[in-house]
Amino acid sequence: MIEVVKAGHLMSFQDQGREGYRAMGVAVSGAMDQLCMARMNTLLENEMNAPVVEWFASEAVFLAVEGITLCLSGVVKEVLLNGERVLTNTRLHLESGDQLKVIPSFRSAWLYLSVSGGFKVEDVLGSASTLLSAEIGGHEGRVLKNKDLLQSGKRRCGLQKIGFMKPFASRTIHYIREASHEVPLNAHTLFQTQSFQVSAHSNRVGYRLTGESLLNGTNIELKTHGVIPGTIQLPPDGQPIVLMRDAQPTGGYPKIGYVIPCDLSRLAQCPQRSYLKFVEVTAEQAEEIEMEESEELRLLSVGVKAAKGV
Amino acid sequence: MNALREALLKDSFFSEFEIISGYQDLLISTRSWAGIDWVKLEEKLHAVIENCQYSQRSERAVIDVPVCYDEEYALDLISITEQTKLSAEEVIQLHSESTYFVHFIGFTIGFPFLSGLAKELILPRKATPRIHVPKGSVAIAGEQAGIYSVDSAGGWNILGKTPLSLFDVQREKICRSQAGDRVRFYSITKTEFHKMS
Repeated sequence: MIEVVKAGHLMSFQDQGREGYRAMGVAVSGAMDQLCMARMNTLLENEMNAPVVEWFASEAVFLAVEGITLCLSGVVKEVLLNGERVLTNTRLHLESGDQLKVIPSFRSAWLYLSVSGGFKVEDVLGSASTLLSAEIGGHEGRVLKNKDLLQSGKRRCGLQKIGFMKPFASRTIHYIREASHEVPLNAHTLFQTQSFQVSAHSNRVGYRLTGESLLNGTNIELKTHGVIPGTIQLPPDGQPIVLMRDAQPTGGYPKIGYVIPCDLSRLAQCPQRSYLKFVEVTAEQAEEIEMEESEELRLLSVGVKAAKGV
Repeated sequence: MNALREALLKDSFFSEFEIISGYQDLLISTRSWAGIDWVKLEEKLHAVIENCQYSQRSERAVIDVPVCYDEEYALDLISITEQTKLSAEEVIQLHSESTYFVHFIGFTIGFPFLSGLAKELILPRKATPRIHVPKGSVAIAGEQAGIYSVDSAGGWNILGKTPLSLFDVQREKICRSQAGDRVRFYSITKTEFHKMS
């Protein structure tokens, strides 16, 4: 069990997401950085869908109520265990009474805490993920607050000090173009040739990108249609929006395309005000990129098993 | 769209897919896309589309929604009367005498997109959306009608409020309506509204 001594900003339980209820208007939710979550759960020998605690670029403090093995991940300035520096992305073993403090850097985005055995969170509609706008799931459908007690399962992994390497963000985001011609051709060209900044108006629902307007006054309205996380919308002001995990399942803006699944996690980790560029890929190329990612995860899994023999 | 959606739901090939309806299109989505035979998927989709019985309208539920059109809840009624040049009574009558068709649920959990709004009530979205639309607000915009199922921001014109909850995870029927259903509104008094809440 862990006590939240100081809750981070927008701190909530997330897992792989809530599939199957989009037709009821329920967003998929889930961790913003799915790649990070997958690595943490692999390292701690959890099930891949074991819920994690997620929060955004802010200080957080946790207290181990009993002995526990955990992993802290994300871009940080430092992590202190009872005042001493420890590593992120590694197994940390805490005794009862140990305190863990996470201090963000100016480049931090989404930060994660995972425990071996996973957090015990009641499923709502098949998932432990929190959908804050609907107050569904996670810890009573809300953000975590100071003094909240988080239950965890039995430790599943060994005490070996092992970890993983992970670059979190990527400034090059691959996407698949929308097949129907909703967006003018020159808007596509402009989209691919310029750099965009992640604006401060970015959150779990969508990331707003600022740059030169991709439209010159043309106002294109479409009938409402289904959308998914990763959909790149082009609203009338010509500034693209990338829909993220809490985006509603329908939308009405024209679409440029779809960020490929693993790059959506990398985009999520781009700090506010950072620049990024988009590269169009085919479905086959997208599959190759996803396979690379799967392979890296598989190698980590192999390493974790091998460490057992050490 | 609805006939096609039902045909896809019945086909076992698409059992792993989620289907999100739009006005003019369907989005099919799956998490397990790796290893999909794309050629077979296209063939299957074409087959379903060709064999679909579009003229058949399956018997679907009619949902009667109580609405209190009292000025306390009808936040935009005055503006609606000004734009349509109708009286408040005429607006309420036109709104409540139609039978609406649920195209799909979207925007927020349980929010139904309805068609069938009387021509006289067609008016644009608000120029400046409201930051806070109370849960249960019944609204219209363009040719559409809808019900705000949770507190949210919104730009539609509000003409009443329903005590009915459209989405409840504890209920057996979590979402009160689904694509293909029909909806009718009927007027209730403020006293009845409080009783039902």
